[in-house]
Order: sequence, then structure tokens, then C-alpha cells
Amino acid sequence: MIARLLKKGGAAATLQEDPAGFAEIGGGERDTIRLRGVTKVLGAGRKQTLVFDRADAEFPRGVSIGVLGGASSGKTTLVNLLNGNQSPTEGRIDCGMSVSWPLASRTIFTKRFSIRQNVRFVSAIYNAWPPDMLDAVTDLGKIKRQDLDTALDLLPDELNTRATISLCLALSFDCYVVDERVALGNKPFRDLVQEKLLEMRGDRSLIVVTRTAQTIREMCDECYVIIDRKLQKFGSKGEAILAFRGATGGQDLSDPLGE
Amino acid sequence: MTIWANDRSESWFVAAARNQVRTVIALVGTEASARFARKTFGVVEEVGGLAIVVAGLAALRYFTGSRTHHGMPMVPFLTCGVFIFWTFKTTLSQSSTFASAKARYEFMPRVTQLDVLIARSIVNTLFYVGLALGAFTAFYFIGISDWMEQPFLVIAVLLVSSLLGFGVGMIFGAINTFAPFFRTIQHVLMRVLMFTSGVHFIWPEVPYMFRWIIIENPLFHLCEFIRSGYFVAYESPVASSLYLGVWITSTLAIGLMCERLCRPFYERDRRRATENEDPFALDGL
Repeated sequence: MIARLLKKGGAAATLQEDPAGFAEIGGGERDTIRLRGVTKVLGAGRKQTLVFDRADAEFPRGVSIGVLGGASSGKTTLVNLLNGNQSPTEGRIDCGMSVSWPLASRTIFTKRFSIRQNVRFVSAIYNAWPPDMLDAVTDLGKIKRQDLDTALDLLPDELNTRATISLCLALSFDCYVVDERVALGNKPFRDLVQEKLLEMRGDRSLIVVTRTAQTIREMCDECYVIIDRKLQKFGSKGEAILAFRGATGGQDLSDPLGE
Repeated sequence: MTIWANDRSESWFVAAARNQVRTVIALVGTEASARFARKTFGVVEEVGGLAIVVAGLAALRYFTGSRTHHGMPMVPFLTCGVFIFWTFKTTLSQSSTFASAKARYEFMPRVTQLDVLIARSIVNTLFYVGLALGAFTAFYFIGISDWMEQPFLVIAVLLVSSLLGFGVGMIFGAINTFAPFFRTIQHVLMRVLMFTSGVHFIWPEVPYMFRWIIIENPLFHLCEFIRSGYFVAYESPVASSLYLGVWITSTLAIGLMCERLCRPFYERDRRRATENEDPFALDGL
């Protein structure tokens, strides 16, 4: 990046042409997440693992895209790369949208703190107004006011999940990432979350990273499959599911209903 | 690298700086709560530890017959040195905790390892500066010593001590990443530093044969500065702000580079699914 800046007459010149700096420095489009030749190596020394090898992909806004991958194929690493939790070892990610944390993640909230403290902390990080976020969490997650000030480790896991997902939806990200599970918790809540996500589909992006073909069929418009450490795009969901089955050698029977 | 788009009304650098400041402020509250709220005796333990060290060193000086020096009462004299060393030591240990820094916020994309280290160091610094000011105020009201001659210099020296600890801590954290046995050496090093950093002596007391090495220790300069700021009776002949500046700039620069280089080593392989896992056990669908 520094070399590119110097080549074009310095950072000052670049910023003068484009005050936001995105067009010159990022070079990517807004409302799109683009992976360009992304290589990711996890761990160090003897534990080094090559997860992605020069992978390319594009996730535009307003489209629900599924990514199918077998066990240990790098799905969670992809989620971490997309939301900026990890950086690529080589290659580049142009991120033109704000990306959520994995929707059903249980580790966003610190268990020693209450829901109120956790919501305040996350709201402060994302520059949101904490009282509004608390209202959204209590309304959407159906959490009673008396539970807001109890430490999470004293509450059932269900409440943690509902609070995390509700806050994630309330923060209004441009792109929601689903890692394996759309939502945890009781069925009415899961249905509500799925409904909310489908409602947002026209305006926001949804990236569903899973090994369950049924989820792809229900929620996605397009589909990538992680094969040989690369992201391969297919013309239709059916082709993608067949390729996924072929790549996992038919052993990964993650779709209970079958084709 | 990952390039993020941002609001067109502000430059990418301003946007990034705002994000980081917001994150650090949020983390300071959380880390302070994590450090003190659930540990009722935590603060008492830390104050007790400091009091024991001051009492031990005071006893050492009392029994050797040197109860005051250059008009400086013994307890505040030792407390100044102990606070400098403790602020440095504890900030160092907080900023070298690379492994646990990101682990607690592993799914929070906006929280980086450096943010957590900065927040922990700020909490630690505020705690020790507050404790030092409380102790010095107590000494004044009890009648052990006069009020500080230059209170802002005293606070500044404590902050600088913490800054030095932050830089050195990140370098030590990086060394610990590749050579975990270094932690043992670090403990020994801290004990050696404790007795060679001027915690319980000043420049005129240093034997001539050791002066060439003592003068190289930046903590000794800090101890000299704090005593010059606290006591009317003492003015250090050797303390150099330029020397300290060089130390702090270089340790911070090297430390920040080390932290950035070590960050990938703490990115964990978070794959949960294995071949043995029951594929039908996916709840939520």
C-alpha cells in the first residue's frame, strides 16, 4: 500500500483526489466484499496449516450467498477473514460493507458481566446508543428487564444467545454472517430470526457459511463451495450441492432430507 | 491485508483512529471491571504488597542507621521509588500478556490484541497513579512529609514509568512468544532491577565502582526525577530527560513492531467441526 501511495505522488496527493481515500487506497467497490488471491495460513511452526490458497470471491450487497464446506475446510476462518477478525497471509480483501460477527456466536458476550454491561460495551465499540440497543435486545430477544442486571453465567444459555443475536440484528450491519447455525434457542425465536434475515435480504447481504445443504436451499440465492482450499462459484444451488457432495466423498451427510 | 470502506465525510485514517479510540475507551471500562469488580480483596492485596515492600526496605535502612537522606523522610523516600518500580513492573506484565489479550474477545472483530494491551495498561497506570497520590496525600495529612514540591512532575514521572513498562512489556511478550522459558528469566531480571534501580538509594549513595552501570538504567533516572519533584531538599545531579526520551521512543517503536509481528501467532485455529462429529446434531435448524 505504501509503495502504491508513493508511486502515485504521495499520500497527500492521493487524499486530495479522494478524501475518503477508499478509491485509491482500497481500490475496491463500495457495497461489495471482494477476496483477491487470498491465502491464509493458520498457526505457526509445526502447527502451520494452509487453509486458503489464492482464493477469489465476490459478495455483493443485497444478495444472499451461501458457502458450502466440509468439516475442517476453513469455514470459520472464512468468517473471520470476512469480518476482519483475521487478516489474510497473502492477497487482499476489499471490504465495502460493515460485517457482523457470526450470528449465533456464543462468545461475544463476557459471561462474568450482565447483559446490560455487555450491551453497553458492544454498543460503545460500534458507536451505537446503548439505551436504544437495550430496548432492541429486550424487545426482539424477549428478555425481561429483571434479567438485564444478572451476570450471564447465572442465567440460562438461551438468554445469552437471544441477547447476542438481537443485538447483532439491532446494530444494523450491511452484511450478516452466519457460521453454520442461523440461530440457537427456542423454535419461535429461531423462526423470528430467520424471518428477519429474509426480510433484510433485498437491502443487506447475507453470507451463510455452512455444511448443511438445506440451509443453502432455504436462504441463499447464490452458492460457493470450498474445494481444495479455494472458493468455487457454481451457476445454480443444485450444482453447488452436488459438487460439495462430490468433494466430501459423500461422507458428509449433513443434509438430513437429502436431495 | 483487509481494506475497509468508510464514510466519505472523513479520511480512512481518521475513521480508523476513531474506531480504535472508541474501542480502547470501551475496553478500559470492561478491563477495569474485570480486574477489580469481582475480586473483593484484589485492591487490598496490591496495596498490602506495596506496604510490605516499603516496610521491608524501611527496616533495612533503619537497622543500617540511615533513617533520612538529604533531608528526605524515609517512608516517602522509599514509597516514591517503590511506586516507580511497581508501576513499571505491573504495566510490563500487563502489556506482555499477548496470549490472553485477544482470547477474551476472540470473536470481536473491532478489538485487536493491541487495543486490549493498551486498555490494560491504562487501567493499571490509573490505578497506581491514584494509589500514589492517595499515599502521598495521606503522608501529608499524617505529618510524615511536606506536600509534593512539583505534583505535576511526580504524576508525569509515574506516567512515563508506565509508558516505559508498556514498551518493554511488548518486547518481552514477543520474546515469550518464541521462547516461553524467558518468563523465568524475566522474574529474575525484575528482582535484580528492583535492587539496582534506585528504589532505596540515590545517586550520592552509589559506590563509585558501580556508577558506570547504574547510570545506564532508565528506572534509576525515573527514581531520581520523582524524588526531585517530591522533595524540596533533593535535586538530582544526573537525571536526564533526553536519555529517558531515547529509551521510551525506542522501546515503544520496537515493542509496537514486535506486537504486530506476533499477532498472527495468536490467531487460533478455531475449527470446531471434526469428522467424528455427528452431522445431524446441528441444533437451530
